[in-house]
Amino acid sequence: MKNMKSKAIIWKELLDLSRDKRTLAAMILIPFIGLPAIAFLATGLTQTQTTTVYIEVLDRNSTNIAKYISYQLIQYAKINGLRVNVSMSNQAPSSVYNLLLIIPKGFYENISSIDGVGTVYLKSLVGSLQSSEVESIIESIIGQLENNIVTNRVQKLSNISGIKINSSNFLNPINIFTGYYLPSGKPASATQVELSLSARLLEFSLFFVANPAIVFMGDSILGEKERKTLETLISTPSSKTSLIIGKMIASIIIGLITAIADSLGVIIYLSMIAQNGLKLTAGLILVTFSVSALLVVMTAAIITPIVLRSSSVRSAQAMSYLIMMIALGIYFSTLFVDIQRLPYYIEDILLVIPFTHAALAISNYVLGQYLYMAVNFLVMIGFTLLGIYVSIKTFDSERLILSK
Amino acid sequence: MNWIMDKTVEVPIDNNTQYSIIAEKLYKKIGKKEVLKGIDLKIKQGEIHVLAGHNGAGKTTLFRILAGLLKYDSGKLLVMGFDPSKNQNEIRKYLGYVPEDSSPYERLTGFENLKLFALIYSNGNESLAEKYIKKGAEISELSYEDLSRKTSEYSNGMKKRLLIARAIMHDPKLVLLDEPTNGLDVFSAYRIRKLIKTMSNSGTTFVIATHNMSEAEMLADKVSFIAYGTVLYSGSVKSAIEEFNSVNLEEAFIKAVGEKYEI
Ligand SMILES: Nc1ncnc2c1ncn2[C@@H]1O[C@H](COP(=O)(O)OP(=O)(O)O)[C@@H](O)[C@H]1O
Ligand SMILES: [Mg+2]
Repeated sequence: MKNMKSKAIIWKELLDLSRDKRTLAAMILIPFIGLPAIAFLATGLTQTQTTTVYIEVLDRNSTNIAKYISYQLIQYAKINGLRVNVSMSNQAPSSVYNLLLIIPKGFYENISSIDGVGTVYLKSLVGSLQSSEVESIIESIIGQLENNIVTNRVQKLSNISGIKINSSNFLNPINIFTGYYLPSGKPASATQVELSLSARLLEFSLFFVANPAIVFMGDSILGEKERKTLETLISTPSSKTSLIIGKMIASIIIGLITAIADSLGVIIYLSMIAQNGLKLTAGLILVTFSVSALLVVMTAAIITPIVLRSSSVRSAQAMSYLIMMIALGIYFSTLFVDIQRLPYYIEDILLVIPFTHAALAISNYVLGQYLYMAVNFLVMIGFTLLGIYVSIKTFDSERLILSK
Repeated sequence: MNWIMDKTVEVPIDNNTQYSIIAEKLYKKIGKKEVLKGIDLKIKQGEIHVLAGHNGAGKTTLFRILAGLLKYDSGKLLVMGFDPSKNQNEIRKYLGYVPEDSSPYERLTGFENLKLFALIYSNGNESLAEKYIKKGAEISELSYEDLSRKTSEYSNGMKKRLLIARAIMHDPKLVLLDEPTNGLDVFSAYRIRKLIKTMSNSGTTFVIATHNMSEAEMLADKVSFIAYGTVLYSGSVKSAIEEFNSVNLEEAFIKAVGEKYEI
């Protein structure tokens, strides 16, 4: 009975939306290009940082060490896409420099002896990100230099003592073998390790899926009020249930479109940076897609009672932003934090937030914890039903009509 | 079955059935303000009944209560025999309502606007909906080309005609029009009044809220003066003018309000 009226409302919502090019573009394009755009911005911007780092290498001895370090520095900078200007001299520089490496008198003698310690001074101008990058390059060059020195010393001692010494073994007496295991205790396959990295990114990308749902549902109800169509619609025999269900189903259809856009965006993004070891499988794509679709529906269902209960358009928007921020907080933190490894009291708080379960579903899938994943899905469905139930129960046309 | 026939049952004549609306001592507060202060009103089936009142008199609030959108605080109310605070869905089946400040869906065409409401009123019955749409198109007096355009391209008069057509295409028993000609030019307003006159001949009750007394005079079978949340007078236009010893309805309204509130 009421399904037929819901159907009319779904038809209208989709038709209306299909002609609202701006909202439509936001709902499809944001999830589609969100992740690649952020990645491009982040990597692109650092690459276009064109300021040159001025480096002075001051060698009081005028030995080949300064030349060696300078040469290495230029090579490494090239590899890392940094622009450097290295100049060597044997007196204090007169112009401003970003980095100054001082090799004092007696340095060469100290490192050439069997147990002498040489000292260098590295001074850098405060506040330059690139200087600190160059600084760490210099440190690793000096680390290599140390290796060479120790190898020489070992060789010398070996010659004197007549004991054959493998200098590489001498320097690295312990081997470390690393391995990964799953929460179940079983060893993780190489694929699973790679997938768990991809999973972080996928979880982050969920924000781009949740965001349009929040916008859609808010606009679907408040927009009708603003465009002066609401009062007529809710005075028709379409019951509040068919009204809410109609709008929910419209949001499901939109959710599926958004989820497809998001999944495609992620696939494109990951295939662009595949050399960095981020990997996708059909299963992970399918799970991400399902999670995304359910997330949209759940978000719409949660936002509806909040929008319906707001006393003004502005307070509804403020609440929507707040919810958007919570979603952003959760999904952004998945880039750095493992929710499952947080202290219990924090994890418990996060588990009350519906958005958390979307992220957990993906990581549980990757970790092979399918039962937990199923629970995450059920919780999301539960939140969805709760949202719909509360919307219908608390639907109050008086509040909706009189709110400013 | 015979005993039914045999028995001479006295069926009480329910006077209420001849009334579309019966309101007794209707009160409504919005926030802290008492907006309706004991509305008494009887509107007969099939008449054009104009609620004439100043801005802020409570006309819109009353309409919203009649449509079941707002709940009244106390009093008695029957709309087509049902209490709108309990059975709004029964009422809404037979109701056409054009709110004061309303608009069609602007990204939809005229036809699509009619179709949405036709599908709702027919509960998805396509052939019935088709009939409603045809009727709506006819009532609106909009051309096929205009009905195929998005309503964002319509003039205010065209929009209003579409809204009214959309509200009466399903043959409702009661039609509420809140300030139907407000903001329209002379031609559009005339067209809409003509439309109302024509439609009311088929037995539909029209209740029209307006602050325009000459419009009230032109349209009304019966008029009710509504001021500051109460009904001051209810009757035919002619008797209103006579009762307040006036030359026209405007003067009668002013005198009626002046008597009560000593303005
Ligand atoms: N949303 C609202 N919030 C507060 N007061 C309202 C609201 N709507 C109407 N009112 C008050 O109710 C009174 C009657 O308004 P209304 O029914 O719109 O009158 P009319 O339609 O006769 O002009 C007005 O004084 C107005 O201040
Ligand atoms: Mg009004």
